[in-house]
Amino acid sequence: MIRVEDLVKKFEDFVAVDTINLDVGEGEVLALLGPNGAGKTTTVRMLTSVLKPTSGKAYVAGFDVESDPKAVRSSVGVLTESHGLYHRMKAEEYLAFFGQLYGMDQDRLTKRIAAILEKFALVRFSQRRVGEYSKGMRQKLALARAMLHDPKVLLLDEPTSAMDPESARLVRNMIRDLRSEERTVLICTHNLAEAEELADRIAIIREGIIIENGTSTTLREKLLGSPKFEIQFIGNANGILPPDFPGFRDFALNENKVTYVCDDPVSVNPAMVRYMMDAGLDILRVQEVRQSLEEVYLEAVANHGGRDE
Amino acid sequence: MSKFRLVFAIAMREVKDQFRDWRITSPIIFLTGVFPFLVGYVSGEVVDFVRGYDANIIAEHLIPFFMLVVGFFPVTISLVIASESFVGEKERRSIEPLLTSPLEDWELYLWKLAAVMAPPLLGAFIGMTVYMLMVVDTFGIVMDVPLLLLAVCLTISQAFVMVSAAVVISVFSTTVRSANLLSSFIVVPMAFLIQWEAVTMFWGDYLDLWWIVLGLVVLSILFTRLGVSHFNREELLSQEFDSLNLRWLAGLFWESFKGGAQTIGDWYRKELASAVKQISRSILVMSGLFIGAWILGIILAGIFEVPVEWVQLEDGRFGFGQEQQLLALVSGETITMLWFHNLRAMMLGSAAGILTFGVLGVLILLLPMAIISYLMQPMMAAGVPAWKFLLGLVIPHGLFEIPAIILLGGAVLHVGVSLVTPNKGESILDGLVRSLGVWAKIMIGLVLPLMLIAATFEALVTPRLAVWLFSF
Repeated sequence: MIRVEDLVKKFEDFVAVDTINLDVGEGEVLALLGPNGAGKTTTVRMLTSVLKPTSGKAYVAGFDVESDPKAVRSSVGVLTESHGLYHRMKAEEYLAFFGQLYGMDQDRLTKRIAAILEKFALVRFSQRRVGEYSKGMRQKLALARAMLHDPKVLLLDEPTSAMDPESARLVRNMIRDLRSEERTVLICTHNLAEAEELADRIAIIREGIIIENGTSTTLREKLLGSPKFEIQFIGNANGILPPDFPGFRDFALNENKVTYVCDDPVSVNPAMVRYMMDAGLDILRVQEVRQSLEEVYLEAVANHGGRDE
Repeated sequence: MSKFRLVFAIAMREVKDQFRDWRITSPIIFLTGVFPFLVGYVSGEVVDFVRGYDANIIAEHLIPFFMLVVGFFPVTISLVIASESFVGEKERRSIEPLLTSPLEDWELYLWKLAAVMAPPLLGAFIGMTVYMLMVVDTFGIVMDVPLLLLAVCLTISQAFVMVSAAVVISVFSTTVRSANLLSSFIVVPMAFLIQWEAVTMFWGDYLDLWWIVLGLVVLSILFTRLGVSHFNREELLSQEFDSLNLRWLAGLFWESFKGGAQTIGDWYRKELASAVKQISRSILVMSGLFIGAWILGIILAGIFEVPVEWVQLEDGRFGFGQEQQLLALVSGETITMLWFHNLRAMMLGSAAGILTFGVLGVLILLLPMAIISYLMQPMMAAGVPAWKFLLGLVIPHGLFEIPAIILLGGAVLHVGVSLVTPNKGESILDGLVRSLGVWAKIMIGLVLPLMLIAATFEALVTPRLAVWLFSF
């Protein structure tokens, strides 16, 4: 549904997006993860035919963003970085206005507005001016606007920013629903937890370049290497020496626990448990040390020329 | 829903939204509900005063002028609304959801233009109606229908010019503040225009006012063309803050000016030749206009005749004093003087042209041709054959000066054309800088040397030749 081939965007002599490639299928959620100024918004703007690529190709919902901009814009729902609502309008009025822009007929529009206000729990506030809304409510209304014309592709720039936990949860659930409805969603975010929670795949973008692209599991494996394990004992384990198993390394002892990295947990972990028990240690717990996406992200950034602030 | 109906429906939504803004409604209410009465009172006082001196004709001419004033003030609000509607949306970032909608750029532009014009024009018409009714009621003066029509057309065309120009400013401003500051470039000339209109109306030259309407319509069409050309998503979103990257602009200018040339010879052969080719259409238009200016001079000489006795020739020959005067000009100093004088006129024409899409600049550059053909008529009436006049007074230096003027006129027109018909993906500034690069090439590479040769001929050859030719 979204295909990007060697896409480049330059502003004068500044390269905002540098030869990126992406492929997002139907019903897939891709998170474009990167710091501010990484090129996420510029990418979204090109995918909505708002900015023209300097070179490269992009297709959204089967339409070329350069040669068929109107069809592209009709097929996508966009949540822009800044929600850009009209504060003097009422929510219902606002949605009706955008429905008109998308050429929706009156009957369909009325039903759709009612349904979407219900979905976002905004019915009670539909006759209030948008200026009176809280930040979270505004974000919800902006998202409602993006989904109003029932688009096949959604491009969501920071969808849960400024939302309270309850609203953010509602939006995340909604994004999951979209995936189950076979819609394609591209989320731009710098929220690592959100990217991991919602996305099937994560593309890490930095200085306009996609430096990594894959599922959170494959990215972990690729960037952080073999899994790390921890064995916790009842009592102190001082004096225990590291065993000599193949593919076993980074052994560390810290009072009542040891940590290690191994390439083949299936053979190493049982042997390790036996080794500890033979050494007279009582094992309380054996577990994998879950490495966060933050570490994955920082590793990816470090591998590509430094760390973000 | 048809495209225009959609645009209309959306414009009405925006107008409705504007009327919810007290900052817009309160001045409109004041200017339609209070201002006409205030002007009515003032005009009453003035009319009573002039009638006290039996100057009824002045009173009759003042009434329509005050009506124009009543219409003009609400229209000035359109500048604020234009800034608010275009830049305001950019500043508040509410324009981006609009840009991601399937609307075409021109639909968005038309919608905004209509929405910006409607409330101030409505205010102007209400104000003018209130004032007119007051005038009928108080002074018993009923304005003629053609005069009323003129006032309405002037008001609409002024609003159209102001809004279309304000939109152009808004397109390349990123804050309402900067757009409002730049709007003074619109208000000031319009204020001057109103004063000119006042004088013209006072003298009852209504035909001249219709010419002003026509000029304003042409100007607003050019501004609208410029606005439509540059009102595109790319340009609206690419600018994040108002700053001039002077280094980059200088680079762009230099690139346009120097091109790929490595030596001066190379530059003349390749770059200058390509610049002349680039502006060839404008040169063609300028040549046509040159002929037009020549014909205009002849026509004007028929209307505003110069008495033959003003041509102080004796049987088509110079007197002794005239010969001495002409020969006194033959000096090196005259070359410098003539060159600088002509260059000053060329620079004035260029500057005026750059500010008016080439129009005023071309008019200034055409002026000498119209004057020469105008002056030739009384000379011919005084018995000087056309060939003698041309050969003795025009051709020696004209051979160089006329091509220089046509080339420069072409370059100036090219600047105007580049502004209203930009290349794809080119911003107003890019187009302007590039076309200025072409202008500079023509100016430095051709016009300056040609004008120097022309000045040399005008100082050293023309006077001698004229004296010789006019001696028999």
